Amino acid sequence: MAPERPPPFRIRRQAPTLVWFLILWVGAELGAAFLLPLVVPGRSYLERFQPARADSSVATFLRGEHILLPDSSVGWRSAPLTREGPWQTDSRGARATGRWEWGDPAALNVLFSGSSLINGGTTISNDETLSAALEGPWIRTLNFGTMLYGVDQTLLDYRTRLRAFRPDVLVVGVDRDALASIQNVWVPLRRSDEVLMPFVKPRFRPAGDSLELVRADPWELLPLEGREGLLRFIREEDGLVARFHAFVRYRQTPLMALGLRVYRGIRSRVVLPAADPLEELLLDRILEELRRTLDADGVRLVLLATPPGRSATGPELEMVRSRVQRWRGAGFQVVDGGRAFVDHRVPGVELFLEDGEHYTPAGNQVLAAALAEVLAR
Amino acid sequence: MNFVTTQFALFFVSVFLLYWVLPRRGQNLFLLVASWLFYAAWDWRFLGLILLSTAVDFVSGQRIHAAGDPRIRRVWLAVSLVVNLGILAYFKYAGFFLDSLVELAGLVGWSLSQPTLAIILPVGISFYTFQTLSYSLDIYLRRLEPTRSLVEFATFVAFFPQLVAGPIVRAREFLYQLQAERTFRWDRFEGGAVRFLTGFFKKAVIADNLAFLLVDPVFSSPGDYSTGTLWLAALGYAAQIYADFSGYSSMAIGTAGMLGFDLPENFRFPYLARDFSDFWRRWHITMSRFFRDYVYIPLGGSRISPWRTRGNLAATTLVSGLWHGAAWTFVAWGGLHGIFIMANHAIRGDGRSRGPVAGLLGWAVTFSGVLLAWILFRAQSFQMAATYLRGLWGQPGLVIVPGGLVLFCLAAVVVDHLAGWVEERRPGVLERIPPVLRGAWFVFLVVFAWHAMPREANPFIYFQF
Repeated sequence: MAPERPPPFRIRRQAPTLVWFLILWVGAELGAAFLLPLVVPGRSYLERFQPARADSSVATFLRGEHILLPDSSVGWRSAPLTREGPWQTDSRGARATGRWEWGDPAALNVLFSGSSLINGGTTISNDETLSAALEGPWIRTLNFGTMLYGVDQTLLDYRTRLRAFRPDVLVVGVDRDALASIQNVWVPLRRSDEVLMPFVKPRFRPAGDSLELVRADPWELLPLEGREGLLRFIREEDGLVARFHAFVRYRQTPLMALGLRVYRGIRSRVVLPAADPLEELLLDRILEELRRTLDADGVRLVLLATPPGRSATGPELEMVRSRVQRWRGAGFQVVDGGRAFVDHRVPGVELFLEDGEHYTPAGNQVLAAALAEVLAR
Repeated sequence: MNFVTTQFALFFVSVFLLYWVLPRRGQNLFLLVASWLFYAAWDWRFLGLILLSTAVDFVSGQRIHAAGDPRIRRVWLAVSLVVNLGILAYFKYAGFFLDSLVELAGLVGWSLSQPTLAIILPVGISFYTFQTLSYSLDIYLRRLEPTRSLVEFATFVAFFPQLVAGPIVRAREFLYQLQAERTFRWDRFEGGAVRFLTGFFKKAVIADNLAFLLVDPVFSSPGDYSTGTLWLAALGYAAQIYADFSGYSSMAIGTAGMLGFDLPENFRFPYLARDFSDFWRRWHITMSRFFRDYVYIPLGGSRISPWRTRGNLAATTLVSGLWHGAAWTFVAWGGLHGIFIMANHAIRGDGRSRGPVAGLLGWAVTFSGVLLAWILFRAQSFQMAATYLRGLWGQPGLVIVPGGLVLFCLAAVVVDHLAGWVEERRPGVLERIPPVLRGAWFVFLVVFAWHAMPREANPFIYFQF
């Protein structure tokens, strides 16, 4: 007697809708990734890339009602005399304690520049910032840290504005995403979660041995004024444009999006994010240019490698450490914020705010102590 | 754990795979543990309430069945009633009744100091207490024999697909399924999966978008909006609550189906109802039948004098309203439906159909009544409901021009009911659609949901009950 045959694979007979659903779903995923971009105009994807409320934020920004003002030389800057919660700026647009007069010839005048990690963000008061923590009998500070600033914007800001304050020292915060920020011209490509800051910024391009500036005029290039222009600008100038292409291909359908998310999750934990030596070279070149400019003015430059947030991956921490070593080797004065946090860790004292990125007043005290040590040399 | 979250997706996939590789004997125990984990993901402390309710009704059921003396049977039934209704009364209604007492005392000039009660409402308490109650009641009424397996009974009480927002399942329609052999079948899986997907779309796309884009802003300050916008938002809420709750029920039925269980239907195109009684045969069916079988009929139903029947109806609808939430607006909503049903009975008389024109008129009156009653249901207070209702008759104010997504969501509910209307007249007609078209339709739902669902998940409306 012949052995009984195993039952046939019954899914096609028992669940034909499911079979067709799976076939068509895979087809839709592939079609959306590889065929749709050929027929759908890029601006349609751009409109979907950011939520609708980003547009209203742009309108507020252009009307001058945002806590940031449009600026054709640096992209944006903090509005003067603004208050949002404990955040407060003075008439110069700086966060200052107001305890001392600026310009005392007997004191060391220290300017701060960098991102919100330097200015402290909107959840701590002016008296709790890093610059306030550094102030003392012989140190005066003004904090020009501005949301999402990169070192390229610091260079431009110094040339166009900060120079006029005639500081003795400029402390420049360099964040772990410093490379992305100097490659970037349209903020959403760098920080898609910052929906209230869909702004454009200038960037530097290498040109032989020097740097070439790519200007960005907020009024001409913002999405409200014409998406075609913005799209062209992004395609030509943004070093992060691959993220937009990834959005176009892989974020339109759920399975592709899931795949992309998993891939990025694994990559960020395994692969060094700053794998491109040319881009690292650009970062160094901007810092060199900043040092040359400051040297000409007799201003001392101190770099503060800001402590990477709680979510920083192993490769990112390694990247920050190697940068600090490289810059020290190149003669820069560098404060390693991440190292300072490790060295001064006190059980029960939280150095990061709830968002895991910005620093608590205690964290700023630690950084200020490390800075004071370098300044005293 | 909300059904519309990645957390639930991971949970269900894990449960599904493990459940079907386990031998028959381990499946129920595994489901029980998974269900308790599911509930503990909200707040593990309230697992104790489920365990208490389970233990009391398991023992009560055995004792009621074993006792020959009617008094002992009544005593054990009372134990079940007191414990379950006591849990419900304390956690859901204690604050409400104390507040009402203080307000009432204030009205007659007495000043009572108000105690501060900060009682958290355990998710799903109204649903699982009713399930355990129905078990004891059915045994008392000799409609059911008690189960000897504590694991089976505990799984019936805590079964995660319907634990937090129904359908309210009776022991006699579920326990036998736990006792039966279950083998994986693709057709069942397909039925469950497409049902889940349909429910997901209703909840995540239709209900949530209507809430975010239209209903929530208007109901938060109805005095600011124009008459047209208020009517639109009222329609929007009718569509939202249907999509939200029927969507949840579909997901529950679909999830259970993929695990090899049948749960009772909870919705049958309620806005097709031609009269108010018909509406309650279509809306939250498992709750309606609970109140019908355990409140209305034991009170005498319709086999007594007309005035007592009306009283029973009023009592049932008021209790049903209170079940929905500890607020007088819910009680008034239930009472309003009671009045509608009584008016219905008075007008309809012999109950015979009176032709298409009368049917259409009946539908229009029923839908209008239900729509206006939803305003009371949704409003935070009587004052807000009154503001809203006044605004429906000539009020200038802000105008919301509905965007394409809002119109799509409203149209989707209309199309859903039209499909139901066709299905009721020609049963099985939708089943004859070729599988390739059905498959394409579900792909459309997936891709559209991916683009259109709001990024923040909104809790299900019926979780709060």
